[in-house]
Amino acid sequence: MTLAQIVMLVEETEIMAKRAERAAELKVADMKRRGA
Amino acid sequence: MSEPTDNARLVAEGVVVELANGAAASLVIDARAMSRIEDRYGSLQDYYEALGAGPKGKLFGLFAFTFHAAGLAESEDAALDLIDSRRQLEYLDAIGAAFTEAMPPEPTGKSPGNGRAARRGRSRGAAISGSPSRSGTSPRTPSGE
Repeated sequence: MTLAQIVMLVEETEIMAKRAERAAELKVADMKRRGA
Repeated sequence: MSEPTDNARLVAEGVVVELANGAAASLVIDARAMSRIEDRYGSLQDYYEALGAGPKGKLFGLFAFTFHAAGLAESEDAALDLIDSRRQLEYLDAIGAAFTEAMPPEPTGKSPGNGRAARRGRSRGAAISGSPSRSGTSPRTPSGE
């Protein structure tokens, strides 16, 4: 695996983690908005 | 009673995103944007699911539609031209912050938002510069670049 591939893998992992984090945050915020 | 309406409050704020053309635009998720997103995804919850999808989830399409729904581009296709692929993490933060702002504050009196995202306060004038026609051809560019 080249350095470039490693960098891409790390970036993709960061993006996946952030996507999950943001989605979870928004779900919670939306539930609060709905009073759940 | 003295609180502004949701739309008035939301128009006053926004989250700045740096676009591929070098411009900065204010991302505002208001009722119109939410309605467009609901139409596309079925519900906001489904949109959140798409946002949090795994590596096979379509992220660029989601960015493009979100930018279009927020009035930054007149079409989803045009919005794709505005996406800087190096800024995916910033866009995720911006979308999270813009949606968080779109939610009314909690009854506990805490201010909305978690402060971690890339939200930056902008002047009212900048945020509403594109408000007469959210489907216009000019993206909202608070920096005037």
